[in-house]
Amino acid sequence: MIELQGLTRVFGERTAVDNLNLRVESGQICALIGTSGCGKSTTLKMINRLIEPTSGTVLINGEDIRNQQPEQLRRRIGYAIQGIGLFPHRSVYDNIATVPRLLNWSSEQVDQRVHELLDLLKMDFDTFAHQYPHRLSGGEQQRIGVARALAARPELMLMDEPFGALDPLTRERLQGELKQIQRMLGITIILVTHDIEEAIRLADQIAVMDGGKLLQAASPRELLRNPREGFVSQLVGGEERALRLLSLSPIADLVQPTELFELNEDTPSIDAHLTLRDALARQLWQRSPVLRVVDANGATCGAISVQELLSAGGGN
Amino acid sequence: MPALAATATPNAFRFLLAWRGVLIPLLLLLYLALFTSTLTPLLQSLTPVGAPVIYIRDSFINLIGWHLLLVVLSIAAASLIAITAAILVSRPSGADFLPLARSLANLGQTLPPVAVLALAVPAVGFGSWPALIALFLYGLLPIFENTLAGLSQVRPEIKEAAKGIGMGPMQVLWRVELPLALPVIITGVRLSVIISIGTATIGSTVAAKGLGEVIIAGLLTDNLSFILQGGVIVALMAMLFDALFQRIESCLSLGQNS
Amino acid sequence: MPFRIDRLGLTLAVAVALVLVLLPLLNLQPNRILPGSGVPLGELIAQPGAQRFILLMIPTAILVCLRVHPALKLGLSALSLLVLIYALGSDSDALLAGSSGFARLALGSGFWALLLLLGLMMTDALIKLELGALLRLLLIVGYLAALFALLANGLWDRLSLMLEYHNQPTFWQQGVRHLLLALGSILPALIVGVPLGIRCHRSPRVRAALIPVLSLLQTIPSLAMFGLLMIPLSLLALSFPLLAEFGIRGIGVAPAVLALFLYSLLPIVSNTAAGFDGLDPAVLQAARGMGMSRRQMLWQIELPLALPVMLSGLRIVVTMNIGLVAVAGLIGGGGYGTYIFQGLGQTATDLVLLGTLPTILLAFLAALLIDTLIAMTQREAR
Repeated sequence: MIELQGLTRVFGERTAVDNLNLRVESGQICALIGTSGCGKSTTLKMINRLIEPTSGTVLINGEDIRNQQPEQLRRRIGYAIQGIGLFPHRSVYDNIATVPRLLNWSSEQVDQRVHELLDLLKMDFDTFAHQYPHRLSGGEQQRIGVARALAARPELMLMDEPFGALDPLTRERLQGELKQIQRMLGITIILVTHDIEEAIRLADQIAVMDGGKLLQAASPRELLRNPREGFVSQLVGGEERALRLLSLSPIADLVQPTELFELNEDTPSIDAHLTLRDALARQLWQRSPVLRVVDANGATCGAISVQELLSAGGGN
Repeated sequence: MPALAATATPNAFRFLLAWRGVLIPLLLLLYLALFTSTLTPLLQSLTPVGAPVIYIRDSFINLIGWHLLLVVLSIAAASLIAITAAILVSRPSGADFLPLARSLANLGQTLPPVAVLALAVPAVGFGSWPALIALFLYGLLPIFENTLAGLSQVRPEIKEAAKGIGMGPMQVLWRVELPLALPVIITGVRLSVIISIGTATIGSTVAAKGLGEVIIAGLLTDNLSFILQGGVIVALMAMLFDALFQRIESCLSLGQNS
Repeated sequence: MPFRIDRLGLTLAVAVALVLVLLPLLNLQPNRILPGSGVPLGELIAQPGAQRFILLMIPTAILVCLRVHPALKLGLSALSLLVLIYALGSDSDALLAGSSGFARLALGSGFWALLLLLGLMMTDALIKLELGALLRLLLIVGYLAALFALLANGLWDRLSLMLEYHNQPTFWQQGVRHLLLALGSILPALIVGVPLGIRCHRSPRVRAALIPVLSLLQTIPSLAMFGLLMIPLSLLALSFPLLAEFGIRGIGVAPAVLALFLYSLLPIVSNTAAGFDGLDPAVLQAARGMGMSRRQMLWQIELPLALPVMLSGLRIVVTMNIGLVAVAGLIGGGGYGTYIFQGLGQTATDLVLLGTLPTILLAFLAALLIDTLIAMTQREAR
């Protein structure tokens, strides 16, 4: 569990972060979101002491980070950033091995860990381990960046707009992989982003910041249903938030028995693992109020109707 | 009156401040060249007993004139040739020559100026000619390299745009490429001038006229006072030209950035 | 396959032909000092060595004009130069026959022009071959070694340049001294300059104070600098005779080494600062965020990544110093400059060459060596 308590940072005349209180449960992803200059990156950097707070503190599992050597603290926390910052003069292998070596792991341990991580990120050891970063694509570089951040098995990982520089397709794929890895390893992630779609897709908790202040921290569903007036509602998108809300739930949530509808050969079908937003889009596109829902094997397992979607998409 | 003073002073002050690098060496140089004799008491202790304190075989103004003449003539010629050559090899028709020209300019940096001077003597004999030729030859390199660098750093889209609005190749060169490359070219000329002032000093060993002869005379007769006079005047001259060209460069690049 | 013309090659080939017709390859001098007259081409071409050279030069010149594989051009022009050098040596006996004992056969302007032109052909072919840096270095050093082996074999011993060489028993000691003087001031300059460069990178105020001073030092002409440094050093030696015993005297090595040190500072400091300025901020942030200490970042990240730019500063310094040491010969610093200025004093051209050629060669080899290092450190980092 990470607790930010009264965190404040003043740069000269400007207060970058103003008395920020936030609690992130272990094993969750928390997204800090806001426009550029809102203090979200500063907040993140105060957690691994790249920036020292003017006042307030951070507790990790109840332990005050001020009681730890900054370097020791950082070696326990994974860190991935937008520019990625892979060391250009070191191979992929050596990049991933950076923190384990700082922690004086034995070379067998390091070797084993690099194999594990490349496996985890679905990258072939023989193809990639001895490449230099400039030979990799942007997506591959960011994967290595994540592997490097995870190398010393941190319980907490900080990510500063990690997917900001990637094209939309690669970004979406990496977001999926990150979520999967996070669930598998059970680590806590605090992620800075300015992309509300990314926050909704990844986060268990979204913390909206503006002008150095925390405006609202809530689950994506809660944030979409009950955004505070002003900046938060603007951010979650007035008219579009209904669609975003639908995108949070899988079709499986609203599946009804096929008997309720008159399905025939022409009724379009949709995969059960997609979201309600996808279902609505398909209904609009096919001009069909009802869709046949099929499971992974292609067998019909129910139906979904536009009436159900309408009732699910409403605000309150 | 006070209002007038308030507006005039800061401008004059700013001018003096910006040009101090040029003005200070210039004033010192003039003083040393014209009123050297006023320093006699100071220099007495550096002079062997019975030897002259101030260099007398020629006037400093005369020597400065010769020194500058060598530098100006050779660098003017070098600029003309080097800039033309760099323009030619950077045109599409000069492409065959470009790789060699590049690496020659790069290799040429390793050539010691003294070596060029020493090699010019067997070719043309003693006097001011070998110095002139050596200054000219060595002066080519920095100007050529910088012109090439300046021309190649003009962004392709700017040239593209110039062509797009209907400029011919000559117009692109004169109105776009050269003005944009000018500060870098001037840097090259400055480097050449500074190196030339130094090489011309050594030129006195091959009997070229110039300030080097004061230093050499001091070395030959163990007269530290001569060495000091020659050394200080040459150093001031180099500083003066360095500052002058830097001012020109910064004025030019200021004009471009705004 | 249609042959296409290489315009550079054509220019060089025409120049070779003009040189052969217009300039003498050798000069016959009545003695060491007096200028001689060129050996006419007709007389030279009667000799077997010169004939072999001409026979090889014709196909070389033709092939250089065409766009053929650069390896072929390189091989032929390199071989032509070797044959030229061999020919001048082997023909010298016959050409000297019938002259007085004082007569000397000196290399003429035609030879130097051919050397330049063949050198240009080789350079161009070498660039177009696009070899790896290390291979290129080995090739050049190997070729030079072959040249030296020819000379060491006594091939040119009847030519004036080598006679002059045999007159100088300390030639190789002077070379060692030249290098020691040039490199000796660089080590302290590195020890002082690199930390100063890092300071400049970290603090704009230090940079604003330091760089103009170092640039000002750089503008002072070498002879003036040597002279100006002699004054305080002489006074120092006069007041402290003990220092004089340790070699700190106005004349000689001390002002030269001090001047070289001062000149070396600017390239080292400014290139170190530039190398550090050019580091990717994301890399540094990542390194710090992963828990590297300041020292670990410096040694593991910053220095290795800034190294290529720092090395190009070193290249400037090394080549500059090799040239400056030659000037120091004038104030009794030793090294090859001694030969240059002695030769100028005696109007003995070949003694001047004996000082100039090794100076140029040393500077060239040092630059080549550092270029290879730069290429190797850059290869992976990019």
